[in-house]
Amino acid sequence: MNGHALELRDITVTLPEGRALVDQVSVRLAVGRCLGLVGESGSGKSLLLRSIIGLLPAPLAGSGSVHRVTADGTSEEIDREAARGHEIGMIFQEPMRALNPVRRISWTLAEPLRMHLGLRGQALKERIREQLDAVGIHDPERVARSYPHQLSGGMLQRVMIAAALSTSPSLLLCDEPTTALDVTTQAKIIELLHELMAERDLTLVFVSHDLAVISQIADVVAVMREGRLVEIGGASDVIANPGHPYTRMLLASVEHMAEQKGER
Amino acid sequence: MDELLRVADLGISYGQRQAVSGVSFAMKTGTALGVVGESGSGKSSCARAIAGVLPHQGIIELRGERLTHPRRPSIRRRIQMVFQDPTSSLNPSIRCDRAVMQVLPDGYRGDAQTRVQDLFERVRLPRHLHHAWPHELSGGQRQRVAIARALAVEPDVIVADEATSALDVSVQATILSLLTALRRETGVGLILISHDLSVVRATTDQVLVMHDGQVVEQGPTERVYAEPSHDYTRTLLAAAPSLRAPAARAADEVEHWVRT
Amino acid sequence: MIVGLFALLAVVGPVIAPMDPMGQDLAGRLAQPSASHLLGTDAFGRDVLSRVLVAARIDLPVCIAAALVSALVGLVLGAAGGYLGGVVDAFLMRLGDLVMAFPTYVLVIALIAVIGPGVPAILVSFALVGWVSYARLLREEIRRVRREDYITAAYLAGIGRPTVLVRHVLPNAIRPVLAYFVMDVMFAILTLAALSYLGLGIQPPSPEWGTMVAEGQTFLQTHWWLTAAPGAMIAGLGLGLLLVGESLERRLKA
Repeated sequence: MNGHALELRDITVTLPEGRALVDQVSVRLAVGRCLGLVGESGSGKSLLLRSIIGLLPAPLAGSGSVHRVTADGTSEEIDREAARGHEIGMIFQEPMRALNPVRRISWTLAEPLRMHLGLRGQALKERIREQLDAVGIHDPERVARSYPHQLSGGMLQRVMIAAALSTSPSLLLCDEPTTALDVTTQAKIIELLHELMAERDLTLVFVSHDLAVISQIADVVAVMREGRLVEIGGASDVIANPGHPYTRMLLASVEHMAEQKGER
Repeated sequence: MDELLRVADLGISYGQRQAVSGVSFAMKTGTALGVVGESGSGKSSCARAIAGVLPHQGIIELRGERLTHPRRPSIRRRIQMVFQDPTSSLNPSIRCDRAVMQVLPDGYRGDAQTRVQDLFERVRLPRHLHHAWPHELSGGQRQRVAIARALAVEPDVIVADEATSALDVSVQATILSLLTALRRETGVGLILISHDLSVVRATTDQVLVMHDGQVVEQGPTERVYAEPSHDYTRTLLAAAPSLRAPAARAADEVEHWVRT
Repeated sequence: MIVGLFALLAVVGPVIAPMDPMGQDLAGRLAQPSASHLLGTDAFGRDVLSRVLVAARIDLPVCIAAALVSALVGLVLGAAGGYLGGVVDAFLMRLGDLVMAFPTYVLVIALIAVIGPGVPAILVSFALVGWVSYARLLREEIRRVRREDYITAAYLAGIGRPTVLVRHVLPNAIRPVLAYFVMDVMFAILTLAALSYLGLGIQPPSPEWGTMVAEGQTFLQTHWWLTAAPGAMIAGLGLGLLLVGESLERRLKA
């Protein structure tokens, strides 16, 4: 590692009446690693993610900051408004909803390229082709010409990853990106994210309710409950020796099935 | 043990398209059958056909009696369903206890109330929620009411179509063990439809693996999971995420901290 | 709130009306608003304020009745179409298209020309035109609700299809119809006023806002309040119903 890291400092999300749904969460994560955020519904994991990129739904207010820290300890705050869709990308659970249904894939992909990189014409086309190729789409021309409803869920999620990566962000936020997919497709998307992390020194924050999925991708696992991190640690550590009772409960629910089988 | 349900060469078509074909299995009283497959594999269509809400080809026999489509009300009651979507499984304008009371068999006139309480206790629905409106319940609680409603009919078979997929893992685990316990207590047969391989492995005795409307492999659950014979089953099993974190990622190499 | 006020008006109108709304005073014709006649008098010397107030007694019930009749017809046909489907549904929907394709007013006027003006004609013609919206709305809702899992569950519990329709489908499908009903009363008020203005609705000398607007029109230049007073009533009640309808819609959705 080059020693660079990203820091989330005191990320807080509050309701108008003051109750905190995410309560002062701070994490440091080495660049090129994946932080897996796991928790059940209502734990605040998705809100935390949205707060990082400044996409909180209406009445909620967020505070806190994101910093880039170099090896010698100097830190620099990232302007999240400016970084959104540029230095920080995001992918969602349902790619179908995140894509404009009346526009071709190429239109969706072209937008950030035009806005942030000022690409036009042939250069733009070429770039789109490269991007789709990079996320493992073998016939980029056909996919670029397609409308969202003509593509499968897994293909759409690849397109969304391509769109999120188009401006070469250093941080990619993933909100349950494989939850709506079939297991075989899910496995392929996770493999793709692994490859992309290695290739581009990409840092990931990956939110999921599924501990098993998290264990497949995350280097660091953070367990969230009622807006707080109840446990954080290296992925294999947390899974092998969970420290917090809630983590043990979550793990037990997953392993529960095997135990039940044993009873018979 | 006697034969509860026998399905032979079940086929389902939507217009010209044959969505499911050649599904056959038999199950005994009090046992559980799992159907796994990915989206579009036809597993949900199978569930609906067995429950009698979808026209089908082939034979469905319940305790040796051939079921036709459409079914008479008394026959319909013998196979009940629990659905995936907790938001759609309960009638929003009927309170929980009434919803269950409505479907009780005749002969509970006087002690219907007691019977409903019984059922709610069995599915472990907290007492203060017995008279609640569906919108006051969480997803897991609604599924409990839906299970109580299915049980209230006193069916021979319960078909659970992704009944726990929309729930948190901890809730999912309790609902599944509840179904297993009920099956052992009451002898009701359980057909569990799921895309989640671990769910099916934990709760069923035999399993059908479906792909593109066909059964690619079937057999005792342990055998299929331990020694899958079909390529597709192997792909499916390999793709399923397991808890084992990939090696070569030692924790000490990862820098992180929490401030409390 | 506004609607409550109007409803109250319809009930107590005759009591609080300062004068007999039909009493003519030919000597005091077209009087300016004054202490004795707060809104002046009309061409026959009748007290305008009294007439405006009492008119609520005619307009509101007729319009509610009109909306009720079209709602009833529409709900029955919509339920039939939505639940039976197939040929019945196709026939009803095409019939609805046919009615909708006609300009509403032309159709209503034609019907009244055949039946003759008056309250029965108004009810019949409103029902003939108005049922389409109710039928369409209910049909869509029924089709939506029927796909819900609890409907399948009810069917599996051995409940017969007609019972499922009445006990499980309708109560959930009818919510948006309630909100639409309030809106429809408003449309009925407007339509009734327009018809009366054209002399096809409530017949003079009964006080009715549309009729009064028509009568006052002749004197618009010199005695504008003759037209403005009933006009304001129509607009006020219309707005009130609109607000009630919208809040009802919001509440039923939640």
